[in-house]
Amino acid sequence: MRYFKRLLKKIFKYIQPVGRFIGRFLSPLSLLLVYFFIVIPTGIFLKLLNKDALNIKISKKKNTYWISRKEEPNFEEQF
Amino acid sequence: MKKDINIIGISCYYHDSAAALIQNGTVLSAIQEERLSRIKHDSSFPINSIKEILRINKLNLSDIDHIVFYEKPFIKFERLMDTYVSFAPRGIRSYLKSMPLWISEKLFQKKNMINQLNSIEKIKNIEKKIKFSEHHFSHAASAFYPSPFKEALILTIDGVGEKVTTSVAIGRGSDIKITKEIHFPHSLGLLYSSFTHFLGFKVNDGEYKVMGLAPYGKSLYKDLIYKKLIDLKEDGSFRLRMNYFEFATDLKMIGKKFENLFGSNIRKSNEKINQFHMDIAASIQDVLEEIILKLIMNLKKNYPKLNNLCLAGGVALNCVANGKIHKSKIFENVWIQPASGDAGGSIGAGLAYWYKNYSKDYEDDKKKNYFDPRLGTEYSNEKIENVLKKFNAKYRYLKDSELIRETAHLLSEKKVIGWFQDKMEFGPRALGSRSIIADPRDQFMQKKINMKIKYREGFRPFAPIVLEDYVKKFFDIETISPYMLLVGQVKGCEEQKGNLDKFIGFEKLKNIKSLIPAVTHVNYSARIQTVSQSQNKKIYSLIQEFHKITKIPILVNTSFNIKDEPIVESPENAFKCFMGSGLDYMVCGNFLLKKNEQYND
Repeated sequence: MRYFKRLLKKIFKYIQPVGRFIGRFLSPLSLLLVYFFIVIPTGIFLKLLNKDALNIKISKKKNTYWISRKEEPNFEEQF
Repeated sequence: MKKDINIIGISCYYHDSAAALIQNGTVLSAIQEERLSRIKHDSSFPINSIKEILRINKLNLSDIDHIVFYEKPFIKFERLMDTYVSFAPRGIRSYLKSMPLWISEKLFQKKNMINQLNSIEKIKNIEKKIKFSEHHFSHAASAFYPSPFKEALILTIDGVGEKVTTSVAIGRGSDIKITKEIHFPHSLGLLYSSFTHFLGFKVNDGEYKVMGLAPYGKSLYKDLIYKKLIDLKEDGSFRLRMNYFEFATDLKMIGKKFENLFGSNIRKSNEKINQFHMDIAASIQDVLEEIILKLIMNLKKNYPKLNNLCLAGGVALNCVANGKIHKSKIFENVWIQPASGDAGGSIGAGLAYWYKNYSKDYEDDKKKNYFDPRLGTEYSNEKIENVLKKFNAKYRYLKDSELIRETAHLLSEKKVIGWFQDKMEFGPRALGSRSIIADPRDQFMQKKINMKIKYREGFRPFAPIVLEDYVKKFFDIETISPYMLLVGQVKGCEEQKGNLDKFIGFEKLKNIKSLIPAVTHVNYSARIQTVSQSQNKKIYSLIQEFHKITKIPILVNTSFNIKDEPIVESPENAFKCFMGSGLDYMVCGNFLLKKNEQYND
């Protein structure tokens, strides 16, 4: 049993850097996939619907840029 | 006997992290983490501050009923995702940089907080004690509850919280109601920071340098800023023209289009500051002041019955704008939270939770006339002496009256003194507890302190600390300014104003004709701190003694630190700063230390 543990430790020692190496490429890759297949298409879709999620546009028609607020803050949630 | 309700407010993970203890609705302690960790603008979880606050108040973590974080992380994440979607495909670099951090850490802030708190003391079900306020609600609470007002309009302006950048709220008794907001990316704080970056200063740090540079310039670019960078409505609300800014999509504030607009590149930090930079600083300062005044004027129209105004948020640290708000008399009374930046959010978060949940205990007459910002650590003479012995320092113990007399004499002989007394202040300013003090009458004092002690740019004058009873004699402000948050004009200099026009740039500062040149800016203004006997007895007595000798009831007051270091917290920090700088003397508690009597190695 002790021998087995030692063997596993040795294997882990060599596998760990390989895992880290793969992780270094995999996480940016998965982030890029999300960006190209979700973020950009959603952005294009919203533009086609003429939606301005961040209210970026300057509006000559509007008299004010204030956004009125009714809801009270809650303290229980993180959102 | 009723059980005490103890709440810890926390702000962290962005910049200037801090913790505060609120007991039964009163702020007992507040410390900014940078003072203890010695990392300037430290943003990490304020574990040292929490430990210190518990120690000072003889409490255990298990005595704390609620721990309130100053903002909501998920709303911030939502804003980030909205930004990436709205600007895509611009923003990929910022996305790749910030997403891993959010996925691995920031989305799990609650878990991180629990781990950190567990390292202090393991408490069952601590997760149930953790609550979340909103960023601007925390600011609003930090401005209204410690103010002397029972009813007030509250305006908060900063870079950005979760998504709000500007908010208006009404404070009545124990209740605060937010009525309207302006959301990211439209932000006066980020507009000002964009210019801070353009002028070659660090964002979230160098904004006060832009303010200090402005009086050297002329507001030549004001119209261009209004025309191209911002759309301002009649009621003072605004939107930024985002095609000129990069902060929403990139890792920098501005890019080529902004540079082309002003026909100049971003100033490199080691590049000489010229008249153009001064004019840019003057222009953005002018625009900021005009917009804030317009906002406030319209708010007064909307709420004509409210006579009191409370301000908080990073932009409320712009004391030149604050001075103009006071002078405008749009609101009869104005109160500004001295820790207006994000650190102050810790106070606000804790207070907001207490007033929301325990307001049945609220008593109107509990309101104090004066909020004392000395909320930090304090060292007894015994502790100070142990430190001085450890460093083999040469020192003398003096009784209070002797100490005041001798220090005042040294100051009148143009000696520069490190002054370490009482509890440390909370907020970015040293207000007489961790201060460097000097004689304001000396024409060369400003240069001496800058070059030998602070090692900083020489274009900014220092702030005066003046006896409250004499403020109107020397300055044109009508009110007290105990938190060094108002700028006013130095009286008796009216005839001198034109005289500086013949000098160029920084030469102006060397040719100021004023009774107190070390604290007079080139437009004959000063960033005033008033002090009364009840607010700070020691420094009041010292200035009184200096007044007897010199007929001037004013001292130079600047923070006890050198450039790029946090203000000193402990006698160790103070002694090291004293020995590592050109300070002539240090007064630490009741001990007087002379520099050239110390060892030389």
